[in-house]
Amino acid sequence: MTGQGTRLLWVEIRGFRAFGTEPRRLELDAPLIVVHAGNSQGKTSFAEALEFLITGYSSRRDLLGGAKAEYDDSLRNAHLPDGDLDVYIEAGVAGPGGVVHKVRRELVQDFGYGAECASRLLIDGLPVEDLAAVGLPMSDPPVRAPVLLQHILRDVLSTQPKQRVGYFKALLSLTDLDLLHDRVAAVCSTLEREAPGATLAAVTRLLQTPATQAAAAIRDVVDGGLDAETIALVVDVELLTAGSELLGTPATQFPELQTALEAAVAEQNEETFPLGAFTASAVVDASSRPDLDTYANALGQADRDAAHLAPLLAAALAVEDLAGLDHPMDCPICATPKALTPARIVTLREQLRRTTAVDAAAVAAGGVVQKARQDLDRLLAALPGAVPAAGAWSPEQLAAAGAQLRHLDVDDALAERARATAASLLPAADGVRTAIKAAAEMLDRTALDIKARNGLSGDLGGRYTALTDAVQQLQRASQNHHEALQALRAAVEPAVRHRVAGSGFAELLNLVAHGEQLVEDLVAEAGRRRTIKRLKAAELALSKGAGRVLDARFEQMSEAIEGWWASIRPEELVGFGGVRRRAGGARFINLDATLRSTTTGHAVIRDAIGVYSDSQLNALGLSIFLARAELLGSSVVVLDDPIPGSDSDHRLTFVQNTLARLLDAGTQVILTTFDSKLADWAQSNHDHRGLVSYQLTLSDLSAGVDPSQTSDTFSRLLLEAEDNLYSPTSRGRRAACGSYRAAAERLAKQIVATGRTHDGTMCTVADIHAEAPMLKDLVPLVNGYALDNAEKGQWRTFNKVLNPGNHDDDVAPTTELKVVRGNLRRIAKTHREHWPTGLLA
Amino acid sequence: MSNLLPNLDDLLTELPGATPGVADARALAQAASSASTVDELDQALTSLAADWRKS
Repeated sequence: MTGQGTRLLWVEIRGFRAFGTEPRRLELDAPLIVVHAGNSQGKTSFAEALEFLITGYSSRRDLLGGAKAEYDDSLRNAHLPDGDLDVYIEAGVAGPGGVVHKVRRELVQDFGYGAECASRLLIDGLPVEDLAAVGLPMSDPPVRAPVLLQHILRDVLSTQPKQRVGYFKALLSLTDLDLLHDRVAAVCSTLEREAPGATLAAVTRLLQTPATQAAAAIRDVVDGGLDAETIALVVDVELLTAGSELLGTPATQFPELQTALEAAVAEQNEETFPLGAFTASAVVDASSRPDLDTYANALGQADRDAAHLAPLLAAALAVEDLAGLDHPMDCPICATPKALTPARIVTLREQLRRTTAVDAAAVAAGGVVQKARQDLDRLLAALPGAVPAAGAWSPEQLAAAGAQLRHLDVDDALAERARATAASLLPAADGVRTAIKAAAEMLDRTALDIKARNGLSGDLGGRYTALTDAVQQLQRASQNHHEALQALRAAVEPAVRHRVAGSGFAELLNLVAHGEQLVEDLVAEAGRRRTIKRLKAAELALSKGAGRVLDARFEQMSEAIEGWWASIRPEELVGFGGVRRRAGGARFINLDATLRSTTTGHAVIRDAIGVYSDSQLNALGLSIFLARAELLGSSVVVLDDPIPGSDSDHRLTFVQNTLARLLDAGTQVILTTFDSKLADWAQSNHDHRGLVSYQLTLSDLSAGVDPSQTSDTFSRLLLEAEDNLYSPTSRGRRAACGSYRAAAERLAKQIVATGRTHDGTMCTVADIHAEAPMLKDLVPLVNGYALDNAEKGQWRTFNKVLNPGNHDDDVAPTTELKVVRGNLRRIAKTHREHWPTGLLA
Repeated sequence: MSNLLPNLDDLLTELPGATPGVADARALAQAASSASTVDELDQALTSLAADWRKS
């Protein structure tokens, strides 16, 4: 088991809760450590310091109740000087295998200001997260350390049944199964929150139309357990069927169906409002002036007259007889006799070569002019589309459109504005038309010039500049109209959609246009729903499985709790019957009590919380804690006031049965108690095992809790006297006197033996006892070693106060006995510190 | 077995049978067994759920 064999050897505490400026060290190297202290003397601070050492936390804040803010600044001692932040718990730990480590927890930040406390943990000087490496692992919260504090003892009993489940799961370290369940639920929840594909919303809209049957069939495929191919088939069939029914004509292909639906939707929309009458195409830029510079330059370099004749010369020289002329002949054009000689043919050939470049440029220029003419024709043809029909509307047409807008709850002024901007396009378009005509005429003239190899005669550039200006003016008017149209469209389209919604055309068109996406969304949705269903079923199976694990652990734990209960309260008619889930559920835990009228009688089962007395509830809380420690294999257990004052009947069973069982199992037990008798009995019953005992006092709030080791006979006798110190009867106080007298005699013998040994004469307590057994004989001896006159007087007083006569009147009252107790403690402390090796035992 | 989920073996023992819900619960528990942090646990469970969506 984890932590088996681990043991605390010592602990040093400073600045933590009631521990103040003085570091206090307690030796713990024993199976049983008994710490006795009156109320408010620091024993709970001691137990909480050990809890803080292991966990770095205080369970008090979680379990004691109240607001978190009430625990602000509760860990650091309130009396430490400002700026003194040295708060720590340090301990020697013999880990598994016996290796000794020094562990240290330093408080870095106290609870407060909305923050948790923070600390730094070291093992042998190296920072660590926890003490698992030395066999002191943390358990699940809220009880993370094997330290039983009063608020832990009662928490499980006072908490709501619903919260008790969490407590027991934590005790049984089963919270990991809750984690698995929660994370599976989180995955499921994420899937549930995931929005279905957008086309599924469109299917929902189609449900509200005459095509509802098709929509329902498509919707239902997600729960049909169909594969993707079948889903696609269903979608195809249903959309085509719905389209055929809506349009009244059979549809077998999606492209045709989509076109028909688009037309139907457009028609429906235009019937509702003629937005198309306001719509115009964009005005393209005018093409720039055609570039004829190449032609003009070639013409400039050639003889213009020759250029004119170039076609004629080319034709003549193509004649075979002329090309190969070797004697003069008559001119074939003007018939001049012998005018065409071979020399002239050579000259003509040279002339023709020079004019060929002009020809090439003229051909290219002709192409450019032709292209420019075509551009103008296109621009002219596009002009009607650039002017919306509404621009030419009559007042009646505009009034009718305004009425339609009002019917749609749209401001009719929008139509008036759009109509005005549309009308402004008419003169602008006329201007463009005129400019196109002028440019075209000039192009025709230019074509003739080129054909005749003449220079370019008109102002083509000027016509094109005028055309560009006219087109830009039209574009500006078009832009102006576009803005008005957008405003109109923004208001009209939603209103039209709303008005025509439900007819099914637009809804079906949307799905037909996104058919592939629809199938994809349906397949994804089917997968999502199927997975959610599987996760929920798995979640339920996990819950049931975890419940069965819990039941098995409860059974195991019930046996353990019952065993501890029987150790504290053996042979009682009221017993513990077990821990179980209420009705096999996961939310409530019952703690059963068994009630018998005789030891062998039939047990009646009742809820323990309802029938147990306070002391029985306390015993149940203690049993639960011990069962947990046993199941977790805790090798160290800290018990803070485990048996309440009201349950004095069970001190002895606790000491003889419960403590014995823990110690027999090899568990190191640190017991703190206000109850002197419990402390005394624990010591006397288990002294043979080896124990360490301490008395805690808190007289100086700044210095803090002051522990005194009380494992010796003197201390035991002082503890014994406590039982009767407050007795109202003289008989009781006489018994206390006897204990204090015996304690004084024991202390005196120790002081004398120590003093003589220190002076050079080896001596034991037994030697002094043989020499002077009684207090009256010891006072003269011990006064020889008194450290001051006050002590001498106190020894003499002890002899008188602690030897009452036979009459009741002679017995010292409690107040005087308390003075004696204080004096004895002080003398013992000062002598322990005075002698170099302490007092002989 | 996972440090994050030390009781997973015990849970798997309590998930016998071949009903779909139990088989899926077992698959989730087995997927979780390699996780050593909550993030890894979430990742393992989400990954299995993603497989289920596709199947």
